[in-house]
Amino acid sequence: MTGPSWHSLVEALIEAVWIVDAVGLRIVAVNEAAVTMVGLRREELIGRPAVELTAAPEDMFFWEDVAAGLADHIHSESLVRCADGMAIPVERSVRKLWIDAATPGFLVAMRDLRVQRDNELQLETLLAELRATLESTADGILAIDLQGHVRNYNRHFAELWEIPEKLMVQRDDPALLAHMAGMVDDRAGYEAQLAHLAQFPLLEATDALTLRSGRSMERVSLPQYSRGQPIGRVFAFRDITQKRDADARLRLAAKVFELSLDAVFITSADYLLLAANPCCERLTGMAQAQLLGISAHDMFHDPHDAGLFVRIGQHLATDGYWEGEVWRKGEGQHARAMQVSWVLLRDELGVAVNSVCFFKDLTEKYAAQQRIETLAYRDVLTGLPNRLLLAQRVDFALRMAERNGGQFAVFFLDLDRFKNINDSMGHAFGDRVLVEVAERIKAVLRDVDTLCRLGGDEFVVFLQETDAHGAETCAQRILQGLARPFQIEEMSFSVGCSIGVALYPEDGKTLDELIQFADTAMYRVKEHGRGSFRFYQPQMNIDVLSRMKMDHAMRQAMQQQRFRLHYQPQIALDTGRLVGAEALARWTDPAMGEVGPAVFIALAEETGFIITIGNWVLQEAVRQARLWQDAGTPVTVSINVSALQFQQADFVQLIDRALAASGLRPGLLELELTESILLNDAEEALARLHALAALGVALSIDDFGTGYSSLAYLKRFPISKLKIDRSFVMGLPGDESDRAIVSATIGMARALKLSVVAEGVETEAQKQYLQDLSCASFQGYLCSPALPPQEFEVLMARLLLAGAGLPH
Amino acid sequence: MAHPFPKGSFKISSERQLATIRGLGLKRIRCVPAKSDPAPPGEPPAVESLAQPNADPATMVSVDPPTPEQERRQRHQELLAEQRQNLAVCDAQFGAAIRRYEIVLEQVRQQPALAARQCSELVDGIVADVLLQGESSIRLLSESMGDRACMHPVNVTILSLLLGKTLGLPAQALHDLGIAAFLHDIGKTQLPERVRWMESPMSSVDCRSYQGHVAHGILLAQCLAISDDALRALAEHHEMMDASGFPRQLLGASISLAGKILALVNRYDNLCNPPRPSAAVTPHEALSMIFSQMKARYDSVVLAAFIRMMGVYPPGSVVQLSNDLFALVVSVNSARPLKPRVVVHDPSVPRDEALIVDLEQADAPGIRRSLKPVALPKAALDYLSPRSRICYFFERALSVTHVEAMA
Repeated sequence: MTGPSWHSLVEALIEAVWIVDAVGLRIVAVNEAAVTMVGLRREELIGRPAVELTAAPEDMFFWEDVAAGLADHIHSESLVRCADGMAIPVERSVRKLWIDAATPGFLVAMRDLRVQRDNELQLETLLAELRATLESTADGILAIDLQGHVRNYNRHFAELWEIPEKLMVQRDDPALLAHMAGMVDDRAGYEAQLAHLAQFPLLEATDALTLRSGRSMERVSLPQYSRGQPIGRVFAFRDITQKRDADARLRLAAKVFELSLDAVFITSADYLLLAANPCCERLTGMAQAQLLGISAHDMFHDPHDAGLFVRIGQHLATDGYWEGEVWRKGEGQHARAMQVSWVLLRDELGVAVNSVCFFKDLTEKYAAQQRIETLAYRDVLTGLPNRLLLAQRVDFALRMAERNGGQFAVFFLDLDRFKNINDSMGHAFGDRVLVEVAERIKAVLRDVDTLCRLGGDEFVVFLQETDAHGAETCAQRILQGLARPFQIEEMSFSVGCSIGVALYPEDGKTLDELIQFADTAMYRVKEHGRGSFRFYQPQMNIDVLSRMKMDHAMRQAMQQQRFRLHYQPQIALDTGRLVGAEALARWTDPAMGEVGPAVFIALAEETGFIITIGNWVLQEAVRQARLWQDAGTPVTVSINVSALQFQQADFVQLIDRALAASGLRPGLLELELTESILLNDAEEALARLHALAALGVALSIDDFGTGYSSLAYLKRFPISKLKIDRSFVMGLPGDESDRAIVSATIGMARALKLSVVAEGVETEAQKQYLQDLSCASFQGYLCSPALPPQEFEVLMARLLLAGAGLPH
Repeated sequence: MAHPFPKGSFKISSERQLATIRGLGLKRIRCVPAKSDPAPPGEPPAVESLAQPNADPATMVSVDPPTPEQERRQRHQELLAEQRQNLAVCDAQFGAAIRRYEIVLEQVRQQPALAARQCSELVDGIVADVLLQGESSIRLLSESMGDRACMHPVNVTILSLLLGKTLGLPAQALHDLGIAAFLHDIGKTQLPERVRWMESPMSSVDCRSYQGHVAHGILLAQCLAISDDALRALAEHHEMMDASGFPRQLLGASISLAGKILALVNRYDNLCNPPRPSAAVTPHEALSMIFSQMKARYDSVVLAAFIRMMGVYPPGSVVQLSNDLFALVVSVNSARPLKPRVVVHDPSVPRDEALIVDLEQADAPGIRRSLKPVALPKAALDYLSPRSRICYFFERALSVTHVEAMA
C-alpha cells in the first residue's frame, strides 16, 4: 500500500479506523471518524498503545495474544474508552495488514453501537413491558397461528385452564388443545366452533363456555394482524362464574325489589333517593322520576318529633337500622301513618354507602285498630271507657305518679236502688237512665278525668291529680248533678247514688286496690244510708295482705277451725256482779298471727263470708252458753249479728234450731244488732225482730248513737238493751258533748225501760261517772278484755267469790 | 458433607431417599448389607443400583469392541452427563445455602450462637464441596443471572471463596472471607425497604441511610462473634481502592485483601442481579464494565485474577459466534480467556450429542458477542441450557421451579 492512497481510503470510511503498528502496538494513524468517536485530537491518538483505549478485557487479552504471536485477528463487540473516561459499545474488528511493504500493522475498525444498543434496549424494554402487560392482564390469553399451532399463552391462561405442568414444559399442541376440549362441557359444540373460527380467520366472536367443573368462561376471539395480514388468532378467556352467579343473584334481588309488597327505596350515604320500587311509587303517589334525587328527609315526618331525622340518623349510625312509625303527607293526600324499617349498608371498610328503607301504609291497620279499640275499650251502651281502657289510663298515671310523685282519686259509684227502676220500668228504660246518668256525671268532670262504666249500675271515676279536698268537691258535684230529677218518657223520678273514694297513694298503689277500696267505702255509704260519699278509711284497710289472700286465708281458717270465741264480761255497775258476756270472734293465723276482728270482719262483710262466720259464732256461743248453763253458772252470752246475716231469710229459723239443738234457755242468748239493720227495711226488720223476741232471745242495739237512730223505731222494736258506743265513753268524763250524749242516752233508755251497757270502759273515772248516771252495766278493759272460755270461767269464779269487789 | 438427612448413617427405606442421594452426586457410598432388611424374592438388592448411581455408561459391558466414533460419542456423552450432574449438585447446594441464610436472618438476634454455627457450617460446606466444582458453580450462577437476585449473599460467598482460593488464601483466611461474604448485607435487614437497594436516583438522605447498612451489619455480625478478620472484610465491602467507597473512604493500601475481594465480587453480582431484573447485564458485560470503567476502584491484581478465573466470557454465558451460531460457554481456558470451550447450538446434531468446541482450535470461530439467555431463540435456549422451562409463556425463560416458587 502506498501512503496517500490508503490514507485517503481510510479517511473515507464511515467506521472509526486506527492503524496500529505490529511491533509496538501503538496507533500510527487514525481517520476522522475515530477522532470524533474517542474525542481526542489526532495528534493525541497517534503514538498511544492501542490497549490503552480499548477498554474491554477481550482487547487486553487479544493484544496479549498478538504480542505472543497467538492471534492476528478478532471480530467482536467491545468497548472503547473515550476522552471523558466513558466506554462506548462498539463492534470492533482487527485485521493484520501491511502498512507498507516492510511494515506489518493492524487495521482496527470500529462501528459505534450506541444507537443500536439504545434501540435494542428500547426494544427489549418495550418487549418486556408488553410481556408484562400480557401477563398482568386480567384475561387468560392464548395466541395461535393460522395453522392452529399454539404460539403463546400467559400464566393466567394456564391457571384458568388448569394446564398440567407436563404440558407447559414440553411442547405438545395437540395434547394442549385436547386438554382444553376435555374440560369443556359441550365438547362437540366447542370443537365445531373452533373449526368454524379456523375456517374464517377474520371472524370475531364472543361466547360463553361452561366447563365440566361448573365454572363459566367468557371467550373473546379476535384475529391477530401483522402488517395488515392475519397471522393468527388471539383468544382471551375470563372466568365469569362469579359474575354469572352474581348476575343471577342480582336478577333475583331485582325481582324481589320490583314485586315487594313493601314500598322500598334506596338512598345514597347522604340520604338522597337512588331507586324506588313500584310499590313505593304507588304508596307515595309519585313517579320514579319524581322520587329520584329527593332527600329521604322529605319522605316522612312525625308531628310530635321535629328532630325525627336526627334521631333516625343517629340510630342508623350506631345500630345500623331503625324501626318505627312515622307519618307521610303526600301531595293532595291525607297524612298517613307508615311503618318504617330502615337499614344502613356499609362497605367492607365499614363506610356507609347506602341505606335501604322499607315502609308500608298503616292507615288501614290503624282504622282496624281503632275499631277494635272501640270494641275493646268502650262500653257499648254509654260509649264510656270500659275497665280495660281505664286500666290503661290509670296505669299510665300510676307510672307518671311513681316517677314524679302526684296524687289521684278513684271513685266507685253505685246507683241507689237502681234495681227497682229496672224491675219496674224494664231494662230498656234502665239503659236510658244509665246513659243519662253517665252524661250527667261526665258533665261535672274535667276533660282529663275518666268516667268508666264497669257494668250494671256501677261506675268508676278516675280523677287525675286530685287530693282529698278535690275529690270531695267532685263527689259532691256528682251527687248534686244526679240530685236533679230525671225526666224520661214523661216520667219524673230521682236517682241517688253512693260514692266510695280511694286516694292514691294513701289508700292503694294499684288500680285494683283503689277500686276495691273505693268499693268498700261505697259499701259503707250504702250501709250508712246511701246518697252520700265516703273516703276509704284505714280501718277498712288490710295492710298486710291483699284482700283476696286474706279472704282465702279466712275461709281456710274456718275449715281448719282456727276461729275461736272469746268472752268479755259485762258487769253490773251497782253490784259488780257478772250480768253477761259478749262473744267475740278471734282468729290466729299461723302466718299472720293474730288477725284483728276489725280487719277480717270488715272483709267478711264485703265478701259475704260474714254469714258463715256469723253462723259459726252462733253455734259456738250457744254451745258454750249451754256448757255454762249445765255447770250451774249460767251466763247470758251476746253475739253480734251483721246486717247481711240478719237479712238472711232463714235467720229466725237458724236461731230457733240452734237453741233447740243445744237445749240452751233462749233467755241466755242475746243478739246485738246495729242501727242500720233496723233502718234498712223497717217493716221487714220489725217482723223479724218480733219473731226473734217470740223465741225468747234478748235483743240489743250495738254501737248505739253512731248511726241514724230513729227513736220511733226504738219504741216499736222489741229491744231490751242499748249498748253505748265506746267512742262516747272514751271522752268521759271530761268531754262535755260525750257527757251529754251518754247522759241523754241513759235517760232515754231508762224512760223506754231499756237496759244500758257502756262499752269500752277503761278507767275508774269513766266507771264512776257512769255509775253516777245510774248506768246499769259496763264492759271494758277496766274489768277484763275478752277471754278464752277457761280463763273466763276463772274470772267468773273470782267475781262470784269477790262478791261486789272488782278485780284488779 | 452437607445433605438433608438427619444423620450420616441410616437405613434407606424409600425411592425418594435414593433419588436424593443420587442428587448429591457422591462418588462413593458405604453400605452395610448385613444391616438391610432381607430383600423380597425376585428383586435385586437396592444396594447394587446405589453403588453406581447414574448407571455410568463406562461401566456397562459392551459385547462388541466399540468403534472410534462410538468411543468418541460415548466420551462426549459422559462428559455432558458429568457436567449436568455437577450442575445438579451445585443447584442443590445453592438451595440449601439460601435456606441457611434465611435461618441465620431469623436467628441472628434470638440465638446468635446458633446462627454463627449455621454460617460456619455453610462456609465449610462450600469450601469443601462447591469449590471442587468451581466451574460448575460459575456456570450455574452465570446461566441463572437475572433471576437469582434473592440469592445475592450466597452468590457473593461462592464467588468470593472461588476468587480467594485462586488468590491462594490459606484455609483460615478463606473461612473468614466466606463468613464475611455470607453476612456482608445482613445490615440491610435493619433498613427500611425503600433504601435497601442502591438505585439511582436516590436522595442524599436515603443514600446516607443506605450506607448505614454497613454499620448495622458490623453490629449484627458482632453478635455472632465472628473473627476480627471476617468483621474487617465485612466492614470494607464498600471501600474502594481510590477512596471513593464508604463508610470510611479508605485508600487501597488500608483495605484488606478479603475486603478487596468482597468489594469486587459484590459489585459484579449486583450488576448481574440488580433489584430490577430488566436492568441485568450479562456476566460478560458486567466484567467488561468493571474492567473498562471502574478499574481504578478495584485492586488490579484481584481484578485480573477475577477475570482470569471467570474468563472474559464466564462459563454459563450465552454467546454468538462469528459464524452466527449460538453457543454456551462451558469451560474457561485460563491461558486463552478469549478462547473458552463452548457447546454450539447446531440443530442438525441431537442435543445429547451436542458438540463441545474448543475455540482455541485453529479453524474455530471467534466469539462475536454475549447475550442474555432470554434473548436466545427458544430452540437454542432449550438446546444449550436444558433446564425445565415453561415453553409457552410469553416470558419464556422462566424455569418451572421459578414459577412454582412464585405460585
